[in-house]
Amino acid sequence: MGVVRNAMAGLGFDQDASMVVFPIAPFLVGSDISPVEAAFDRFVEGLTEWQPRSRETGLRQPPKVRIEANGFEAALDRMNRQFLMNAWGDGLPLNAPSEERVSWILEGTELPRDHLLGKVMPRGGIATVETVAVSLAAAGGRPEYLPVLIAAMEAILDPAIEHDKWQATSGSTFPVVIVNGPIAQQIRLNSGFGLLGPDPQHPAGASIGRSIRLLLQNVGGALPAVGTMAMFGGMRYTNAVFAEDEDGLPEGWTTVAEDRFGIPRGTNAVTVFVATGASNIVRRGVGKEAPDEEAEQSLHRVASYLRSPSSHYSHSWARGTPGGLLMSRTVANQLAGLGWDKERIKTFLWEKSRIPASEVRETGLYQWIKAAPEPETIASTEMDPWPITRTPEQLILCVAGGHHPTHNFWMQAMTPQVTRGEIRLPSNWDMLVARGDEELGICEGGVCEI
Amino acid sequence: MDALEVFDPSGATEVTRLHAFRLPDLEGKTVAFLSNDMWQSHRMLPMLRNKLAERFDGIRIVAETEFPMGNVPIDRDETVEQVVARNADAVIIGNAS
Repeated sequence: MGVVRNAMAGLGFDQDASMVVFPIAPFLVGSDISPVEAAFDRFVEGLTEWQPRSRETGLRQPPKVRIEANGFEAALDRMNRQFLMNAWGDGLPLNAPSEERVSWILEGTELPRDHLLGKVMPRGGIATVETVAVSLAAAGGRPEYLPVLIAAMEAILDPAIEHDKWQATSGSTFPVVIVNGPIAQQIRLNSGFGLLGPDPQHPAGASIGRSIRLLLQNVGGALPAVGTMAMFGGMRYTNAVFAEDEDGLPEGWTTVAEDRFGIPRGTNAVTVFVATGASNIVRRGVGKEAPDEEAEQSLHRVASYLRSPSSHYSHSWARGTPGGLLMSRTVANQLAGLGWDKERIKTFLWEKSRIPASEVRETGLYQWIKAAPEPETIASTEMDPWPITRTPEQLILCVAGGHHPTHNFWMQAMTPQVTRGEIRLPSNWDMLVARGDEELGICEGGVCEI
Repeated sequence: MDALEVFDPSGATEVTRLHAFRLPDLEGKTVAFLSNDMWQSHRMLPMLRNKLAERFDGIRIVAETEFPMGNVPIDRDETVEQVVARNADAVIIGNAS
């Protein structure tokens, strides 16, 4: 019900709809649909008698929330409980998004507070620069994170990435935000060991990603079992926000932003795609293989992970990406030294991950491809073996992760497009970075002095 | 007593459209169906169409199969225009799950 109500709000109606609601059973394959037949009168009532809650249009701006308690600590504790009761939290403690803290966060942009970024679907809540700053304030962020968060939200709200659909889906979708350019190191985003997890020396990814999650939930209405039907909801505390390890790129290799959007290296950029899962792939051999043999075996192993009959590929096939492969600088340079450039690796993985037509039919993937909206995707059912994406270039290969040879990391996608956001730095940027160094310690060579 | 004043993190919403008024009766009316072609809609919607036709004199049904089907196609403005062009008085959309 929540999904439909949210969707109505997203279309500009009040958060309300005429619905006939059933438990999940009649919707399953081979189900008994007699409960639907028995409820026929309710369908008629929906067309003839149902009344909406509201008959007025207009902007609904919620007032600030006042919390009273004996002492600041008690007030913060009460605020956290109230946020959970209002379904605004994620279960972890939040900072108070007070005027003072939000104003501090807003030092990270020169855009006006009421600058509109878009509506967050399916609920259709309005995301302004202030709304985004409120989320970052609550999520433990800092002003210098704001340019990346704004850019990431612009990329998420780009209609091409269809966030209204993956917000509500039963798939456990999560946005992946890849940052290129000098801003990554300036704000201490992780590109090395543990880049997808907590790291006190690189806290920016966690705060930015958590802010995105809170925006998708609070403004967009993606509340589990109400506004999002994500069955498992993995990676959703912080999503995935990290930097490409540009210093570790082999000579001649391009960045993700260059590959996808032609943005020159050295320019700040945010690239976003939507993932549905993640796999750690042991790619290294036992160490007794010849280098060429190990390299090729490792790429075969990676391709075998990509070669899965996932219906999500059909959503991404025409213009999106099948997913993002993270490869450490150690592996990238080892492969590059053996003559494997980025294009050759992508082409190899694309070729070796093709799925025989017999398997496409056997696993029911065929029907999903046929149900895709793009004619070129539907036509691809004639291909044997079926490639998991239209072209090798669509595969994202990102040099990132700890400086170690053993693993790759694969994030399979369900993303009709890969989108970008613009990073705009305020004129006080150098001051913000210097203050970050003063307050959090200076980072050099990927290690911060705390 | 200390007080904290914080922003409501859910942000603003704007209602720009109102729901259509309900019909007094379905007799003689045109009811269109739209389908995302999921969740057994291929069984439920025909059943509902048949029951509507049996119950209401002069009702005209425009089946979901006469419009584009699927989550993306039914979300397009062109599909809405097709429904309007068929002079539909009401629309039943299915299925969400």
